[in-house]
Amino acid sequence: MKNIISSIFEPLYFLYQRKISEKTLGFLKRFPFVQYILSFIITIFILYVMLVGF
Amino acid sequence: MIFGIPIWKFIVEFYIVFVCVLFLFKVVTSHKKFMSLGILYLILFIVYKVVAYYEIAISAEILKYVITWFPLVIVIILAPEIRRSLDLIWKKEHRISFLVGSDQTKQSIVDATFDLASHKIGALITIEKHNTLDQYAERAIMMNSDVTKEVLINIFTPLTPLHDGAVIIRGDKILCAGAYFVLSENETYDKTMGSRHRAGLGISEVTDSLTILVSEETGDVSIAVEGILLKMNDHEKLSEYINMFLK
Repeated sequence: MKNIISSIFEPLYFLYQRKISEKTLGFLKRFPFVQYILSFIITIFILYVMLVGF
Repeated sequence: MIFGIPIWKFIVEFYIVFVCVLFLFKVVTSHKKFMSLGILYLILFIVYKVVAYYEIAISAEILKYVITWFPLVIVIILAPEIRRSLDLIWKKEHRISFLVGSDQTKQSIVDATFDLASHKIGALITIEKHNTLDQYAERAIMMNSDVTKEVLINIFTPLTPLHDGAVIIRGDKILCAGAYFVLSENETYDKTMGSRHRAGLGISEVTDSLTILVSEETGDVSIAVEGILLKMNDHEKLSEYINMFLK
């Protein structure tokens, strides 16, 4: 119940408590190639938005 | 033609943008704080796009200011960490793997710790993991010596030049002695806690290292990891934690 309330009224703090960043970092450390894949996707997205538009 | 521009231009554009994005990615993922703020920024950006799309005017206006100034605020607040992270990004030590000490090294550390504890000699031994401790080692006395019980006891023997400060261990080597760490400011711990324990906690808060502490008042052995202090009662428990940590 407490978690539900805090996730509604303090969503960012709730995310922080869930240690999302540590989990993400751990995942990226285990699978470093994911950084390259994500960078590739973000690059394509940026180029698409800049050159073609939404 | 790709996206309405010639292929060669697209390749150049792609290469430059890709390098910038990857660099940014590496900076953000180089430190826990950057990662937290990066995710926070991403969330705020998505929320901003959503409220802007649905024309929720006031929220959109506020979030517009927040996401415009947020990067500048991050840069100002985290300036020292940014400088340090830029040093580390391409360094060999900041890789996925780390040097794991041999069983002999682990045994020497445990034996030395309890020997020091039995004589109530204070000690601070930090074992490096993924995050490099070079910045602390640079200001300490470099040793590059093998880890042996005798060397560790000798370092911490009172009135010797190296006894004040921490020993940093990397793999099977004592990297340096007499290292100084930033003290923890964690309010949850007793205010009377000594500076050695605060230093051990401090380094465990900012890096993923494991620190073994011996109190000179009580002879108690504790370990500091991820900002938490755990008391070690015997050889077995300490060995177990070191083995678990250095997998």
